[in-house]
Amino acid sequence: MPNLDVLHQPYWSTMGPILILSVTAFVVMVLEFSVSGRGKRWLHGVALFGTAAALADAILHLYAKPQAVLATLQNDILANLFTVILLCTTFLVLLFAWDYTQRVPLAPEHTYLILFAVVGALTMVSAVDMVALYVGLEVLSVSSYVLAGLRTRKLSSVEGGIKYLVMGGVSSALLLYGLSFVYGLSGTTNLGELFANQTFTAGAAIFQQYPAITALAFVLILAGLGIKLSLVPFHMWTPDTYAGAPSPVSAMLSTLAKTAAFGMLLRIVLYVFAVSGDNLFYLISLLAAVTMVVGNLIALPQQDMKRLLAYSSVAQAGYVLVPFTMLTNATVVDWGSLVDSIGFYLLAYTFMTVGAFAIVHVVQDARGSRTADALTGLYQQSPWLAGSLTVFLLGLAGMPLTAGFIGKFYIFADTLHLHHAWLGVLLFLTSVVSFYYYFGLIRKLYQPSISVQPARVQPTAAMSALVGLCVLGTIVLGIVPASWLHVLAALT
Amino acid sequence: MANSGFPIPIGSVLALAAILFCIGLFGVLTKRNLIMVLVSMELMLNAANINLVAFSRIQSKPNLSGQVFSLFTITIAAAEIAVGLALLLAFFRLRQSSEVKDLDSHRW
Repeated sequence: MPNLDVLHQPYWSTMGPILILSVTAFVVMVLEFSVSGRGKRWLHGVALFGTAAALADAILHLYAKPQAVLATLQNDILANLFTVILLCTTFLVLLFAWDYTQRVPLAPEHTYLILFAVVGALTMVSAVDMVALYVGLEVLSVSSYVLAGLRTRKLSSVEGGIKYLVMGGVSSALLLYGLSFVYGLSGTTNLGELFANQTFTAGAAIFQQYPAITALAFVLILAGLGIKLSLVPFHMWTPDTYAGAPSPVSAMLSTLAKTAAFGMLLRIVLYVFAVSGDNLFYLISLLAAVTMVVGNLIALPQQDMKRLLAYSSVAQAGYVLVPFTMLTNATVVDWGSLVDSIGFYLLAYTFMTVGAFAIVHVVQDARGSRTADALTGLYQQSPWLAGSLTVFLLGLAGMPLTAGFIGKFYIFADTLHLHHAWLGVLLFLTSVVSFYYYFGLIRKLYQPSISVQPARVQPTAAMSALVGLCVLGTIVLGIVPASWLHVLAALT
Repeated sequence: MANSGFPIPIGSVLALAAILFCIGLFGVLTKRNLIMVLVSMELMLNAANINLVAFSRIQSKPNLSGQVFSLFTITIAAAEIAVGLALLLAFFRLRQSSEVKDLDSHRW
């Protein structure tokens, strides 16, 4: 009798969004080379429809009982939470890409490359097996390398792509080398099994017996994911890649790729190191501190808005890293509140960052420059766009009544509660530094333009929808944070 | 850990992997030609593969997940290097060079 277990796995309820998005990606790919000319305009529509369907499926199964498919993909709290954030991000990025193609010629392959990248990202957050985690990471990364260098006739885009590829390759080699040691010590690639071994049997003893190898694995994994998250000693590629890549891709790299990498880091830290590697977590707090300080300081002199946003995304990654340092001395009850802070901040950050990249792109397209001076007089011309950019920048700086403030406040409260007050204070101080460069941009927005009337800025329908959604997200999460916190609290 | 019939001591295999990994990392950081940088990157990935295969052999409960993992890694590395060479070709067309020092159009 053959074993038919493989047919009776909960495929649909566990990996619904992944299945829907993969099918959409293949459909879009086939459509892309079978239709020609004006028909290609509809590719984004199909992709958006598939993403919306996947999002609906993810929301319907948000509170479903956690199940695993073939002990590899799982729909637990962490997976569901990050899936919803990732799919919201995808929707925004696709809208952005739609607007972008109406202004700048871009190879239509980007639609399905974005979808494949998202499939990889979803795998990263829902896999509980090292092999699947690694494959997910690489699906995301390889698609991103192509996307970053997609404007093959533009030197800066290709250069950014090469830099990202080399750094990304090093990062995956470091990560893989680290994972190989975890496998060597535990004898399994399955994180669930590894976690159970550590908590219930003497499996933890192996990690404690070889502290040097455990530390090496931890450092390698942290460095590998640190490159993807552009934490400070590993951030050198970030500004060049973001500045060279097409704007929707920059937005995607700074939100989608980072959210997925944070999900993967959370999974590995919780399952592998939280039990038996707790003496190593000071390294994460060190990284977070250095990232917050250096990220904000090098953003200060930036004039190019895309590079400024790149450095600001470095600093923001430092803020999100703060709750990770406390996972070890927290009880299981506190894990919930830490995951809440991470989830809240990542969604808030997504709305603000994609919105800011979108408006920077519209201004660059109309005025032919993306230095801060190009913003001059935007308020007189299109108060709606200027107002939206103000909301995003205030949110990124962390002003009250925006999502950014609430997100930072929760992280700050966690640090006080779990005795890492120095990190909380550092977060507060570096946010004050960040006011300087965010407010510099806002001041330019409201300055009247002295010289000749600059070119008019015309948003398309897709752009209006995108900016509207982002403003709505930033303000609603800032004024009624309970709307998203209730979901988080019910999950964790 | 039992050394179940493994002819070469595990320590030597791990040392080989570690040396390969360090050579690869050194190469990525110092080589002047982009193709050599890509080759060094491959070296790092292969060092990890050696580790995985060696570890899969010495487990007290022998299992194949390490070897399967390394098969996945080899495939993925091939995809990565293909994209790398494509980007390199695009760069060469624009700049007539494959030197790392010519990746300099971004100024700050």
